[in-house]
Amino acid sequence: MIGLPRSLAARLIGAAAIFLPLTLGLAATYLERAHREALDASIAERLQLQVITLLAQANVSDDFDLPLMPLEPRLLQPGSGLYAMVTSEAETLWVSPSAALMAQPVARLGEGVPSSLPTGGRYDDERSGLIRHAYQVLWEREDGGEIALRFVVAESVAPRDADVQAFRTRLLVWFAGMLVLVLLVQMAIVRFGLTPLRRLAERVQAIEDGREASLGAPWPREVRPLVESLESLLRGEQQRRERLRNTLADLAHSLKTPLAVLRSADLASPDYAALQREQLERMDEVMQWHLQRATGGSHRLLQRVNVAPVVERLRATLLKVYAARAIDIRVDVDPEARYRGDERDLMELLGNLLDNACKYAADRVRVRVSRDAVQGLLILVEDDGEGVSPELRDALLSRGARADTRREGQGIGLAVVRELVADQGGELLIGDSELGGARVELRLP
Amino acid sequence: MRLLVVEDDLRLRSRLAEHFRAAGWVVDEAPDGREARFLCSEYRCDIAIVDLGLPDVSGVDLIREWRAAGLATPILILTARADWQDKVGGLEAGADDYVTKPFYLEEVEARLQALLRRVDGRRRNIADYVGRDAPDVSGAGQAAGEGEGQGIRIDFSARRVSRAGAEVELTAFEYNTLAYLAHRSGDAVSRAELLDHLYDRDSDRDSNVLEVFVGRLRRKLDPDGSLLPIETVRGVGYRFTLERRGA
Repeated sequence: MIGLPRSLAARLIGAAAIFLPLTLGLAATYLERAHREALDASIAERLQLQVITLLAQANVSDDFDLPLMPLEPRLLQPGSGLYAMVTSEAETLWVSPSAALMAQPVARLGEGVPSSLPTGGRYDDERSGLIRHAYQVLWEREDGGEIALRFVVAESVAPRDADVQAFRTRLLVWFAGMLVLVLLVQMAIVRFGLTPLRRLAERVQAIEDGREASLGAPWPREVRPLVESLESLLRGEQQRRERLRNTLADLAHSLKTPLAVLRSADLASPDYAALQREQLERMDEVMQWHLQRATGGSHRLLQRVNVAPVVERLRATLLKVYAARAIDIRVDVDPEARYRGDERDLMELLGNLLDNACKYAADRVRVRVSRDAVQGLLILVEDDGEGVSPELRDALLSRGARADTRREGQGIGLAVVRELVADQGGELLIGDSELGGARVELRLP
Repeated sequence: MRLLVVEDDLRLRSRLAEHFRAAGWVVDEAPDGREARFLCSEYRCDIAIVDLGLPDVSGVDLIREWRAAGLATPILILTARADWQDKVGGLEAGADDYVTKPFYLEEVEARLQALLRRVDGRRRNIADYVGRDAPDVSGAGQAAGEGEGQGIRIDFSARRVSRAGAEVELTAFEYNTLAYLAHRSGDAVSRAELLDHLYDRDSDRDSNVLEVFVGRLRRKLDPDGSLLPIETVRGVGYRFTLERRGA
């Protein structure tokens, strides 16, 4: 199967190139037909007039007689293309001199006209290259008797056909010319209409090359949503780059301190092994901290992730990890709850919260996810462990404390969650659960 | 216990192998998925450690392949990426637990012990085994060690065995034989299987030596012949007859 052309202009021109000839062809066919019908109607009218002229000139006494002089000259000129004949019953009374050169004139002129034509009846047809008109009359003779007369007038189709052919040729030339003209105009219109898109591509290229910072304005109404989305994506990308750069800078900074401690340590000291282990652990934590919180971030163009399946997958995973402790993880998630952002980020948030809860729970963990009044997300994770002491709560919730300044035993999970939530404009609260342990409440926009 | 270590980094793989060999395990090493597939089809391992970032195939795909083929061996995954998407992906593929790099060898060993406990249905590293017709004394006093009075107690993490509270001195090979038979408690274990799980594939295998070891083990565990913990299954191999009590 042939695919659609990739260019919009090619599609528009291609469609016009297919449908314009079709439309023009139909119009030409109709015009040609109308012209031919008009010609036929005028010939029929002319033939009727000829019959009336013949009737007016006819003279029937003993014999049928038609004085030639007042007749239409073409009836007198042999092979002129206009012929006439008068018959009575089966007898041919008169044939126009124009038929003199015609092979079997009587047969060609009269044959086929129905013999049962009533008085005053008319008959028209076209056969053997002739358009014929017959008229049946009842003639009162001078002696008072009546005689049935049939007038047949015929005209050759050749002039009409030549006329039709000439008209067809003219039509073809005109319409072909029109087609080319319309296609050219169409191409110009398409080019003009697609200019904003071309301009947009150039601006994006300029941004890629670093020559421009934004797409600028104004843009036509139809392109505006696309431009706005692109602007938003570009801004998001810029923020992401910024965050990545900051993360790397922070990471490098935080890693250099333990490296410096190690480098300056006394290799011969009996405490060296313990010091090395401590600093390695610190470096590992710093790395985890920075890598985990370097997420994609939220963006209005990002899809909305269904929360329920993510919670279910995490539950299955954690049940496996904590199988030996047989923890009861109860899940109550609004099936309509959606997270605006990346599934990986959501999994990071929920994974850390649930893992913490499982780690500190005696044997029960409860997860509730619902939507608040403004379609935001409310996530509640509770356990029946020992809870979080007030001092630790404060330490966890104060933003800006770096990983390497965190207190011992705090766990990196909640701190990462706090940073992620703050980045997304959300809120993290730690309280006491009815179950007896900690209650972590997460509100996301 | 036979352990398969699939890890592409030579140093890390060697350290893991050395550590577990020193603990009396039989360890097979595979640097990539191809070798891992071969080893897994040739030697039935009791447990496996699989790194997720292998050079020729992703660890997740390898695990999925094994699970699809019906392999039930517990698998611990090693991952350098600490994000949940990877952990969930690995566990959904069929792994049983994960350890993120960098790790301490003690942590890996604890996780492997936990997985083996899970397979055995144990909750602790210390298990008491008694005769199948011994009265059930689970409940009060069991944790204090009364349960072992009638049978033998195996401490799987300390690799120690005691009978009626008195420590039984076993060689590493004797301990491994006992631990494997207890791991398969109730099943007839063929000599070939026992050799597979106790010896490196390159070492000399001799089932006569095995008989000598089992004989010695029986005498040490049951000098008066009252417990009969290991019975010979004619034409097959051996069966551990004792039953685990409590959790």
